[in-house]
Amino acid sequence: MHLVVATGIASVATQLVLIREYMAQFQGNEVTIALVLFNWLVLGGVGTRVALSARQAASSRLFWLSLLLIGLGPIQLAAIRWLRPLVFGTGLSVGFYPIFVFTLLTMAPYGLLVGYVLPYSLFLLRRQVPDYGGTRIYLADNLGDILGGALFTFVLVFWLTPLQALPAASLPLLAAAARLCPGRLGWAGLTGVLLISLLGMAGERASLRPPVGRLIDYEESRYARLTVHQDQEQVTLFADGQPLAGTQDPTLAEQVVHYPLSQLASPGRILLISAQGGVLEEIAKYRPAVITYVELDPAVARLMARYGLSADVPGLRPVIADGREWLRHDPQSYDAILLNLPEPDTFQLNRFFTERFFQLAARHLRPGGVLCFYVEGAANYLTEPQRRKIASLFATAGRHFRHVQLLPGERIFFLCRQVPVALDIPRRLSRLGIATRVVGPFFDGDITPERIQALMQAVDAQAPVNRDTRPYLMRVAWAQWFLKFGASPWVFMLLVAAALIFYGMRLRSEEYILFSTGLLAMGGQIVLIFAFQIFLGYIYGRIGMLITATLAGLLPGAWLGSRHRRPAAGLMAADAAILIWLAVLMACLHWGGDRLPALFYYGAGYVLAMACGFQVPLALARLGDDNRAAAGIFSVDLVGGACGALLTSTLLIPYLGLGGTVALLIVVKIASLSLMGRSVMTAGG
Amino acid sequence: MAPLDRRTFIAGTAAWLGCAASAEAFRPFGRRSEENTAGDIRGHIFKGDAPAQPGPWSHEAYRYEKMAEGRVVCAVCPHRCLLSPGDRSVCRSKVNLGGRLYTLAFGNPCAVHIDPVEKKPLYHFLPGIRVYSLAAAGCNFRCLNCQNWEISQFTPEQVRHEPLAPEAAVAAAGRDGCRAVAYTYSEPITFIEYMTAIARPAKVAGLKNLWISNGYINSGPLADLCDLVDGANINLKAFNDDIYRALNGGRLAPVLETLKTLHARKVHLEITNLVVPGYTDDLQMVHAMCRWIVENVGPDHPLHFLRFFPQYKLDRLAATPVSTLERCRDIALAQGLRHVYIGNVPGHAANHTYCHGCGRLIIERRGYQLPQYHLKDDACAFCGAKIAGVWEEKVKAEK
Ligand code: SF4
Ligand SMILES: [Zn+2]
Repeated sequence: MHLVVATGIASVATQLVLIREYMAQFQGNEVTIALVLFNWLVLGGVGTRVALSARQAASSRLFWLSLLLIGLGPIQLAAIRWLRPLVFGTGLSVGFYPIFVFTLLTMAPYGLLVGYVLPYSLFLLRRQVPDYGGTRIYLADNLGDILGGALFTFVLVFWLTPLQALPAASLPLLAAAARLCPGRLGWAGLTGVLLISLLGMAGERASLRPPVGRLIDYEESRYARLTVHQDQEQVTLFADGQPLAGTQDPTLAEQVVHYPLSQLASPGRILLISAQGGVLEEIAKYRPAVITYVELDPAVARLMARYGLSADVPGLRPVIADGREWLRHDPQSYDAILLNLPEPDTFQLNRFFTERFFQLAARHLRPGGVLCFYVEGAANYLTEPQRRKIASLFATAGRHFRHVQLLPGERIFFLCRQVPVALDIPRRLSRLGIATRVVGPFFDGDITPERIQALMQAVDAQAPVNRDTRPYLMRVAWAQWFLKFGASPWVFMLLVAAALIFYGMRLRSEEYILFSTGLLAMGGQIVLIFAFQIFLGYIYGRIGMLITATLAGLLPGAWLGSRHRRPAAGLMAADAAILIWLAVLMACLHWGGDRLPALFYYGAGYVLAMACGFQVPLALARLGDDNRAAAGIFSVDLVGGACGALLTSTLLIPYLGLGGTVALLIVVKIASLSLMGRSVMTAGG
Repeated sequence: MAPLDRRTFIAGTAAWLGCAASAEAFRPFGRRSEENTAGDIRGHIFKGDAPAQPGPWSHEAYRYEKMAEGRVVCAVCPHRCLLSPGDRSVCRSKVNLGGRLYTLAFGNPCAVHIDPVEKKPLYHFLPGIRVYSLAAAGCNFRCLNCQNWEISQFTPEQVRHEPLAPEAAVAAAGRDGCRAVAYTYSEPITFIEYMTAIARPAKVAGLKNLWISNGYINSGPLADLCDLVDGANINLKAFNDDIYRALNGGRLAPVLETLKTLHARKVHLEITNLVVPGYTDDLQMVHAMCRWIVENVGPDHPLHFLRFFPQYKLDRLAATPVSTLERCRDIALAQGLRHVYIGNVPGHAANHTYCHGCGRLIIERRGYQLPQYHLKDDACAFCGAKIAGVWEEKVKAEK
């Protein structure tokens, strides 16, 4: 029993470490998260099924399995770091399918094993206590999950690096396993596992050595893996393996600053949301009274300052906050708001490119003020997704700014004002007496009237608006990503759909209910998280709270369910509750989720989880709580969750928006309800 | 229980071996840096990918051979695509339709812009002129860091384009005050039919023809181009065949041949070398490259070391440190090259032209502006040393 809880703790911590690792190795976006969750849950589901074939459960075997689990964590992490450049090459990003296959294969041993251990423990317990309930195992496992998640989110991530966090989270498992130790050989195994862990801890930095130059700083921040590389005299800050800011790139800094600020006679108050190397120095050339510089990640701000990427200029007021959330409560207004953000290809970044954000920015600008932001463009030709992205941004910004001027190039700049935007930027700069290395000398040759005109012709005010709750940009970002790697998402989606249909046809109706519950629990949780970060900001601790609350509800739910006497009615009641929950959520999103307090979201997550947890023991009761049923149910729940994670974040939200996604989840649940109704009738008749 | 334990162990080990094995299976997708000689990302032919019949932008290809069973071989570049009816070439712009080779990129450019000649980069070719620059889709390379992958890695049918007949292009260039037409951005070799169809009337109209290319072309077509082209910038990606195969999907030798031919045919030639950290920043290789240049095409052709920025699929690397570029430049100068530039570093002193005779600054470049210009005809105004290039009195960069 302890072992089950301990396994839960270790496995969830490992899962979180893995998600972060894959994000650092591939792409820090939702696709990676969804893929890893999907793989994890599917592997777990398969492992659970395999457990059915286990003949006699034995405690010594469980001991070895647990040991293997502990040892695998660090080995797996090291293997990922070692294999990544070996397989894909130095400095290269890769597309969806290679990420999918790579993550699936590298996490397979651990994922399968974790899935196997849970029912195996149940079988073992049943050998000792024949009527040991599947629900109790489920409860124990979830308790472990919650503890593991909370431990990692609120403790380990702040103090330990990944290769330290893994053994730390495995300590309870180690202790629990030690009690099963089958003699001398077992102790040797324990020692071996300890050795592996120690080796891992010692090798953390070595395993992060960059392909070029050397690693001079490294920090696991709450949001990303930050590494600082030095090559010759050049220092570059990387976030999740992608260069974020460098000491030798004046181009971007000059463009971000001089395009907008040259529009103004004398900018007095400037708001800078995130920064690039050299941006503050460029702003200082205008001698503004106040530069408010908002950075989300304190670690980024710290490293930028430490390595000369952000200077301490007069008037500087650094703020650590989510830029949008901060602006919402900021009473000040500004002459210029400068966005210095990476490409909006995640939901978290998309929040700075939506209609509501532009409205917020417009409200915080003084008369004549300017908002400037940029996105990836192209040297000479915009792909169709890029063009649609630009067009959508143009239309979106156009709803709150009378004049939206685009400047072409490898980064396309948007200058948004209520008064016309001047294009004689080099002349203005020389009039202001501001010296530049890039904007002044290169503007006329790069940003030619012909190129500007071509770009303005490529956009139109009728393009779809990018909204918080309907993130059109996400859809376009996916399309662009697939285009870049010459792949199509549909192959994958068709495969998943085919597998699902095949799988669904073999399910019993109770299993289907649990499948849909797993799907909904995960899908609903993801909708909730997205809604939360859209409306209340992307703040690490609060998102962590939300996830914990969402998991925590499973426990009381399952406990209540196990005391419930009439499974069929209970299942239906829970389904109805979930339906109501979804309807309420939809209404809330519609009427503006930003007016709701964080507590509402925590509560909503908790309640959803409760309803889902409630169903597990009931389904077990209906299916007869034998080994086979228990394993089947755990597996169905996991696979449902996997589908929920994948579908919601990669397909439903980008295409249907939050509201549409919830509507679809409602349909899924109604189907499950009607199925249940039928099966109850048949059984009753 | 012992056998079971062992079985678990074996299963775990097998799974890991599986991972390692699949890592191997992935190799064709990936690439390795120079220590690995196995990587080759050369493009492949697209079987059965041709349209059903020639469209409005099709034109019978130039220089190809007909083979048995309706197959054809393109003779333009060293890939020598052998296409069965219905197949599409490596460069994506040629197809075999009914036993004849067609280009699909004739009169349908996807990018048309007016650029300063310095942007090509060509620093010794009529400084300050405006250049009518165009491209159609397609490329015979697969560079992982392509700057124009949006057009180079797609078929002509996949991109938006505008109709532009060769004569219309020439007329437009004249109308826009351009002194030259540049075939650039993607790889002009892959739209060589369209390129030559423009270049001929352009030459007649007094416009210069500029060819910006990877130089991966066979000798026959190159000889034809030399009759038409006034200036060329050839991108010498690396001086190492393994890197060529792993980073670009081509081979080194044909490019070197192109450099020799252009030199022999007295086409104005400048050479570009992109310095990619971890890939092409090996100073010994740079040394060997510079020596080859001096020995084979002489010290006069300008050489541009370009700074790499994260691009396309190669976007998880930092930019090239400026000092690395400076080291490359020092090596080149020490080898005897006369005009060595550092590109993509705004404001760097190695953007200017210095006289190899007296060492004084003769052309100052501030972005695309030329605040100082001390050439008299084709010689240094201070010491009279002849500066290789195509010059005339400074062409005023339009303001
Ligand atoms: S030019 Fe194109 S079709 Fe011709 S050989 Fe080269 S890649 Fe093949
Ligand atoms: Zn001189």
